Amino acid sequence: MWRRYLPVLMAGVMTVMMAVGHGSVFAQGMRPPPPVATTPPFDLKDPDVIAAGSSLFRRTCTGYCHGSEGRLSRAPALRGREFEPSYLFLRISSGSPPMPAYQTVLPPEEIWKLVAYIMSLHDVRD
Amino acid sequence: MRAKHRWVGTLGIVVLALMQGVSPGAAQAPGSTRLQNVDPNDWPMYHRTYDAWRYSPLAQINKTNVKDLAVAWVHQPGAIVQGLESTPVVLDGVLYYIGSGNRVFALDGATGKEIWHYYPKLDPIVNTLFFQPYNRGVALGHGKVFFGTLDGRVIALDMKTGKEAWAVQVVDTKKCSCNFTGAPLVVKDKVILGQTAGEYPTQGKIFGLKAASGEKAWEFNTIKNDPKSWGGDSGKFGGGGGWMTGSYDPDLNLVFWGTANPAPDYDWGEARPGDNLYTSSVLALDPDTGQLKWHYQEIPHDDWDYDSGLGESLLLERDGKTLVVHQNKSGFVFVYDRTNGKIQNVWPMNHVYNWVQRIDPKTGELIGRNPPRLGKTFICPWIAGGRSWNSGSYNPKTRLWYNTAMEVCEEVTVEKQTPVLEPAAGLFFGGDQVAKHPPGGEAYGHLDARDPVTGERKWTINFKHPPIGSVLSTGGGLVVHGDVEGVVHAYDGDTGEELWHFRTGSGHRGGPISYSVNGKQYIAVPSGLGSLVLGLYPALWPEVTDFPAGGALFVFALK
Repeated sequence: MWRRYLPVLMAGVMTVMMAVGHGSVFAQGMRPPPPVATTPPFDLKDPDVIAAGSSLFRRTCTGYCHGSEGRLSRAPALRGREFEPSYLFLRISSGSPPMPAYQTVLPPEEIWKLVAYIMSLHDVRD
Repeated sequence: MRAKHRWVGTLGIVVLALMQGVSPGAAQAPGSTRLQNVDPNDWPMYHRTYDAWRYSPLAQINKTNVKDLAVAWVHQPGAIVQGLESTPVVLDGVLYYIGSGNRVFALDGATGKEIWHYYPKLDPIVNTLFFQPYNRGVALGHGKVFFGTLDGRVIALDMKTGKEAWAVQVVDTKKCSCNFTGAPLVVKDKVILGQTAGEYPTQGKIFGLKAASGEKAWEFNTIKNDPKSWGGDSGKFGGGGGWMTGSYDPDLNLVFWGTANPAPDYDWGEARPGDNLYTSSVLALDPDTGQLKWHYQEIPHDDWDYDSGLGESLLLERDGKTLVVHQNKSGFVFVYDRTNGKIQNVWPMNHVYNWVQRIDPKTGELIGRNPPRLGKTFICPWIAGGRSWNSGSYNPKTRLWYNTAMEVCEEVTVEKQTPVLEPAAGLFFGGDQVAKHPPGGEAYGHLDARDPVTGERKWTINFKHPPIGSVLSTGGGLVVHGDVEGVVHAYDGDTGEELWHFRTGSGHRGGPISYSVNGKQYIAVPSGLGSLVLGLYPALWPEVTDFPAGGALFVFALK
């Protein structure tokens, strides 16, 4: 039973850890309610989904944050890294200052497209 | 002796205030002159004076003794996400400043001892925004401290106690994702400030609020209601706004305010037909009514996000003309007759540009435009600008403007995008970009000493990492400027020779100031690396990824 909640718990712990790592003391620590990691509505390895996620990634202005196509920037680089899909979903949804929380801007399906794209960067080496 | 004179001066102010029927704390009542004739000891507004010079006449610290400068005190705001971007203000020996998360502090300017602090409760919507959690400054007047918030409010605090005098919701951040990050400007009985909007599908405005109550007296919509200027329904999502601080000419009773870029930032060819007034323009507004007196659109149909919302509006007199000098992100400096907005000159601050072939210095016409369209386009300067929102400084003694520049290019990828409006506005860029070195050379930045009207250059200091901090110049002949690597420098304003430096441990994005308390001059330097712009650096300078963040106010005085 507890295994069902493990990914959510881990994601929450990691989010807090990353926030602390930023030296973050965001104003009064007010946070929106935590999102729930839904099931991906499509195959995360579907090339069309990855392409849609790539486009969405560019349009959410990640060049300012994660670098072009997830390359090096001030925020964590995303290329060549291993992530759990549910962690990425929760991280994108809830954000961590200064990363915006996208749950009020993007529906879950769009966030899953971003997850698919970031997962596709796992094998990139450059 | 100086202290005695100061006491006499204070007594005089009290008497005058009583004669006017106001308390000393409310000395900037309508019609008063404290913001117009600024005491040399003070730095009472974002650019210190209405003319936006960022010049302190104080000369106790000068070229000869600056080598003896040492830390007097340090204050830490305790919130460092996106660093410390603000410029402090000082009135009557009390220093006020704002940090990340809209934390506001009042400190004893001589010792750094806290008088009060104010930490607002912000709406959680702030966590969803692109423009957060930084703020660039507060404004003083009418016995209050004014600032705009990350969640779209404007708040007034009692200067003496830090207690909230009023708070009003001015923009609907939950819908527009827009907010306030720039310092307001107090003009007579109004608090004037503009909102962020240029990257969101909304209509950006500049507001005049009543200083006494926060009640909105006027608003100016930077999206002109004109189908010739905005084809189809593009104006509904036109962006604009005016997110930085303007200047004010009391004789003309005009406020000069730059407006931001249109949305989407990049146009795939049909996104927003027309010239897109009043985006990427300089406005001359009546501060009492918000009525537009004149405007000049520096970048008609801005295709590059070159955004006139940033860039101080420097007020100068030259050869019998009253001028306003304004720079946007394009790397060009526009010089106007500020009585009517007629172009007097346009000169390039940057060496590397290809977005236009040139700008006609007599007419301001953009000649040989090179707009990015669908697909990839190589553009100089990059989206961070030939200069970012940090300000230069003008010294009336040297008649030089000390100003920074970034010689960096980018590859822009433009992509068609549908604006997202529900449940809240989503970013509306129409593309993405990655930093590139200029053709045949390395990207770099520089600090120049220039004639602000002609652009004639007197000296230059180059930086590997383009500087993004504001500049201070002083009556002691100094130019003070902090770099991205975390070193604050004092230069000889005549020659550019470095006379002193100090490593603060984190890079510089805010504005250094100078002030005096009880006859002793101080130089306050915000240190703390952060900024959206900085996220673009590692593509060219990977080491910047590891540059430490921070947030601390260093205050220096002679040993």
